[in-house]
Amino acid sequence: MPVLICPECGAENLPDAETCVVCQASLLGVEPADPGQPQPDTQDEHVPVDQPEDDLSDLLSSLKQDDALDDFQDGEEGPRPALDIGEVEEQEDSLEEPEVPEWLHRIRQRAQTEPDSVGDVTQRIKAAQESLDEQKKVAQEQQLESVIKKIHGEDDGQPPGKTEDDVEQPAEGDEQVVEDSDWLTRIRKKHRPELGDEIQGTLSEREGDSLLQWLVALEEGGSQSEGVEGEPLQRGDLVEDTQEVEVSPTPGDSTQEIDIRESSPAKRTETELRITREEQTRADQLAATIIDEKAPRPVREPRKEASPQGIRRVLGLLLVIILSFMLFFQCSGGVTSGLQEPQGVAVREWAEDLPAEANLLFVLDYQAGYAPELDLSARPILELINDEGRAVSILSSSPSGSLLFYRLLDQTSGLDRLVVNDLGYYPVESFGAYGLANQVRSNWQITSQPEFTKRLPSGPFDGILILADDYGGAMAWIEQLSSLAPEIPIYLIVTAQAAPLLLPYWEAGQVKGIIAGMTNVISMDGETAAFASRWRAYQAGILLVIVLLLVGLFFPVYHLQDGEGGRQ
Amino acid sequence: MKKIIPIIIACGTGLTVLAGYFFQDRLAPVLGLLIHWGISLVGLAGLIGIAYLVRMHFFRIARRQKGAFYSVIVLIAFFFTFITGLILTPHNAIYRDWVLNIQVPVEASLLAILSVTLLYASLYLIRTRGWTPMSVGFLVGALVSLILNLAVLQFQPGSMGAVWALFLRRLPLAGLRGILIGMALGGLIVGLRVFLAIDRPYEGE
Repeated sequence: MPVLICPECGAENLPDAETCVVCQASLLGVEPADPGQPQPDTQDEHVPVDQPEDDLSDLLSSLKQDDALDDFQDGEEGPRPALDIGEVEEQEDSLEEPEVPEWLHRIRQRAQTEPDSVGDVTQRIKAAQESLDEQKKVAQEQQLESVIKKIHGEDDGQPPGKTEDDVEQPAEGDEQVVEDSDWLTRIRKKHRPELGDEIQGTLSEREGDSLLQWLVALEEGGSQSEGVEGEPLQRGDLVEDTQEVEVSPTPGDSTQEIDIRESSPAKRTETELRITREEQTRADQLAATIIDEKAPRPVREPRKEASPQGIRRVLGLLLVIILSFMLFFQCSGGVTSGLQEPQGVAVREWAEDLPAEANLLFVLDYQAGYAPELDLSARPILELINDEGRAVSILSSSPSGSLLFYRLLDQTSGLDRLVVNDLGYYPVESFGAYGLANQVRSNWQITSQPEFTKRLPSGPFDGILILADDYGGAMAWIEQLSSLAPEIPIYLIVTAQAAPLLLPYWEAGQVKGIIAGMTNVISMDGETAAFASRWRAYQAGILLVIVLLLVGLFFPVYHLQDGEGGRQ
Repeated sequence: MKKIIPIIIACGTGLTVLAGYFFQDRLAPVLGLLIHWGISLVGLAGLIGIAYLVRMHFFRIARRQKGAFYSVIVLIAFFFTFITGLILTPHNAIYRDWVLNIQVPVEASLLAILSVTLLYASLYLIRTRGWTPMSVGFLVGALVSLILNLAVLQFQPGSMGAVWALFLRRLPLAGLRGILIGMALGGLIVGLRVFLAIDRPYEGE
């Protein structure tokens, strides 16, 4: 049944009514309509309520616009949904037309009072829209954080070029540019509320230049931002201040641009001027050294000092004169007797009591340099031994031992009276001592052993007299013979330097007697005319050494050291 | 095997020589034979050394190196002494004086230089180390020893001076005994190490 619908309140009236029963509005000219037939859609705001849920694009669009407008009117505090530029313009147009369809108004009122009044599809759409907004907000925050971390030189774990590409290359469409502009605008408002509209406008103009530059300015404060404002960056500058870095193991596969503007001249200058304290100290030392080297110095006159070579010559000449005086001017008569050492007395007594047929062995283990001292010590003993026809054996462990002994015998006239059996030269003392002792004990022979022209004597000795200048050789003889042939008496005639280390053998009984140096001889025999001059020279030498020692202690001797050119 | 054979020979020889101290009557001829071998080897080593020395001086003369003149003198003296010794034998007075009248002054001069060097070293020791108890003790010990060797201080037997002189003379014996005991222990350890093949000097180790 056709009815008349009031254009004012929409109430249905009878076809023949002239005024509305509800609002009393005139119904003249209103065409009757059949409420059972669908009406044609002539305007956007007249969206039928019973429209199928699958075709809700217009409804969603209107809801989206409404939400966007609400957010914008609330002071732009919350996140703004992503809108196209065209949609924003339409939204602005709609703000100028505040008319809201009545059906929509009713729907909104009902939705506010009754949440369930909104259909299931509408709720899902809203939830999806909110989820989308949340995701976009999170993504934007992550981008902002990555950009800030990159400015601070930190590695945020993301591909370094992602943020820069997103910011500086808005080539992904106008929608992305609008999104970036949106959150950037909000950040600027939040962090820099003191900036006026002029600066905001300027910054807005640079949105396409460098977001990174703005963030750097934001971090470095207002002074830096002024510099940024004064010198707007160009794309060419970015190209010059970036370098290509490979991020892929395969060369050339994947490269990205990394901003190196931090090494700008201003920053480089600041880094170069920052020096440590140690560097400063070294620089100061170097400067002081250079100044010291360049400083004028007075010419040093070479001062003539007493030459140490001259002192040495004087001392040497003095020594020679004193020793010569002692040697050439012999003192006769004054025979003095010192403290007789028991070890020396034992040697003398053994030599005096030797029977004529005694078998003696002389071991010669001294160098030619010690011959003068040993000759003086051994001569009194040899004079006692030089009986007519006595057989003696000599065994040398030094190359010139036999020659020295022959000369000693010649000086004591024993060479003509003694029968000398030379047993040869044994290069190692231990070999001679060990072989000699075993030869004494040998009671059988190896039948196939060849005969030596000079072999160690097998007969027992009545005494072995060792002439040694060093304790090493004498020790070898003493230790081997005293252990292998302890019944053979051993006597020593040694130098003064070897005696101290051999005295323990005398105290232990391994050695029967020791004559050590000229001091022992003169203590036994007194100062005879035979070696009075040598004894005086010996005393003068010792006295000179004592004087030089004392003088050297209290008056240090200077000497030149080659290579250093200085005095010590 | 290459290493075991020298070890066996060294240990066998050592054991034989060591046993000679306990079984001297039975092992004396064997030990005498070993001694003769050893002496022959040492003598041969001496001859090799002499030959090497002569060869070196010959090369120095042939190449006209620095000091070739001294090499000429060395070779002339060596061959003259060697040939003269073969002809005249060491019992000859001329040959004996020829050798000893050169050798004795040279070696005595070296010893005189050594004594002066030791004197200077003792002074340098005092100057570098300063007046420490050790340096003072060394100085006092050297001075006392030198004064006693002068034999100018005469003491009657039984007097306090003689007792002091005897004490000072015997004072070094305590240290000397310690040195000798240390040397004996060191020799024992070295012998045991060679005997147990821990040290093998015959292998150049």
